[in-house]
Amino acid sequence: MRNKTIKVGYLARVEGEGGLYIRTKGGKVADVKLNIFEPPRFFEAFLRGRFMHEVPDITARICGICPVAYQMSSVHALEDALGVKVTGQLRELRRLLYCGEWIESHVLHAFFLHAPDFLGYPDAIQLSKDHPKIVESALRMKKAGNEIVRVVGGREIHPINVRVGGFYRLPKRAELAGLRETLLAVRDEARAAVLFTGTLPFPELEIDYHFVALRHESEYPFCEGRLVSNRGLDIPIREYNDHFVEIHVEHSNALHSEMRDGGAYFVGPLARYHLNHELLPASCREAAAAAGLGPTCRNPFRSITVRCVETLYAIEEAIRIIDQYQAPDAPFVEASPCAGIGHGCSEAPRGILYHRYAIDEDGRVREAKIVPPTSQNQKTIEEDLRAFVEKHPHLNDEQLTWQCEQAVRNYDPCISCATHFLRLHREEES
Amino acid sequence: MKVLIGIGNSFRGDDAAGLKVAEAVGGIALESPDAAEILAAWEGATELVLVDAVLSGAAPGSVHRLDASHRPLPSNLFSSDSHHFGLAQAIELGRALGRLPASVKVYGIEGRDFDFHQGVSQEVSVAIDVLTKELGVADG
Repeated sequence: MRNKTIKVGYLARVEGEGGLYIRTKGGKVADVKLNIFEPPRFFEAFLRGRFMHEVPDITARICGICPVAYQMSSVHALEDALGVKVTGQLRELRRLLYCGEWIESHVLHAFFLHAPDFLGYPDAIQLSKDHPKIVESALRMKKAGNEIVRVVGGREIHPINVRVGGFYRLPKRAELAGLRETLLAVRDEARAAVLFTGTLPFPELEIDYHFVALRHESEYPFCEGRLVSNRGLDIPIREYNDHFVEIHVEHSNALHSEMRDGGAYFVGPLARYHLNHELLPASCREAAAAAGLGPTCRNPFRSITVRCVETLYAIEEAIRIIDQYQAPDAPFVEASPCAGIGHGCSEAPRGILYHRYAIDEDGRVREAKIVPPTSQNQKTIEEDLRAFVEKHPHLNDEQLTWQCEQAVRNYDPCISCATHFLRLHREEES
Repeated sequence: MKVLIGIGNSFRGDDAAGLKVAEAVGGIALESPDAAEILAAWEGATELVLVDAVLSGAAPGSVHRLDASHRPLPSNLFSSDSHHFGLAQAIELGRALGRLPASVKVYGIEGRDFDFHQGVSQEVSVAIDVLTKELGVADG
């Protein structure tokens, strides 16, 4: 492979704005950069001084695709600081809300952003001309996910019903019954979607990832559990900062997150799947197997199947929660302001989302730290691109560029989330 | 059934134009929707009217009147890049899936200022009034 430079100025079919730069020399990759040029957004700074009850609504605005993740991580972190625990049906409702978000986010990515790559289409519109039934099915599933978020969260985008301690309003029985009907109608389609992804042509690539995810003793993880890895990590959420650190690299407006020893790690559906596979219901494990997946998946291209398995799981889990639901006495647990530090971590569609807040005795935020999954994956994305390019020396420039762009899309990066924070350091040249 | 949908962002100046027209004529106002939401909003329509702000270099306040019933919108007015899954994509997705109403009329109001604030510019305000009178009260 002669020396070459691959440059994608503006990545298509990813959420947010970023570019890609790869330079090879003598068959080896000399440089890989995921250029995040979407402007930084300074959320951690302007959260200071806000009252704790404002935090879920403010952080939800970090992302239009995964606002529930921000709301869940933030309320759990604040409740940790306040010494409040939300259990029982309120806890189930939070999981139900999260199911809705996983469904809409995963379906959007799998069929509108990712699937076109595998079938050689430049976008989902071209895909839908030849495969209308698949796209219509995806639209129905996405709509079901949106409906969960609307019923439980109060609004499809940036839900308004989430608060510290629970919710402002409980869903009505009739609303949940209607939701159940909608979910039942798309459950078989979700299974078919898993099997469909199993038929797609996947490049051969196996990477020895350092997977990190939440793990709960009895359920596939959303909001609770310990942070675990496939290399021996097993810590409570509050020890996050002892093991992970954020650094600022020149080519990205998003902070890179890495292990304190400097290593990359990988969060998201593949990590969850690897670390929690046996906690998936049998129906989901069977569908995964039928689509060609074993108990683990180290091929990032096959992440599309894992996202569809998680979509099937979310639909079934949502039905389970609705079926067992009994309205609690109150929509939220009381939480009086008090000084403290709290940590929260939940599994956003793209992986673990960590929040830490220091609040004062009036319940005002003194400090905020937010680490989104895409920040945590940036180093892994760059390392994977390096591995992919070195493994495929025979591709011509056009093919290689296209495949590298597709490789970035494997990670479903959410660039708007990743750029929420930047420490500004100005140097004046004299 | 005639459906009018106004699309926009009420926090970005003139980008609220489509929303204001929809509100004035009793249509559907969609705040920063994606293509799937737009598609869902026109379900059942036989006649579709879409209103949005545009930035193409024409005089602010001018109104582009387009017909997308049989062909895509011009890309200089409504960007079709695969990053933003918006109005043009919704129409083409609908067309590909056979879910496009028989008649699709699109009105683009040329904006001047898309900065982060609420409130439209004077020229756009005039255009909103013109379209409100022209499009009247929508059915459904």
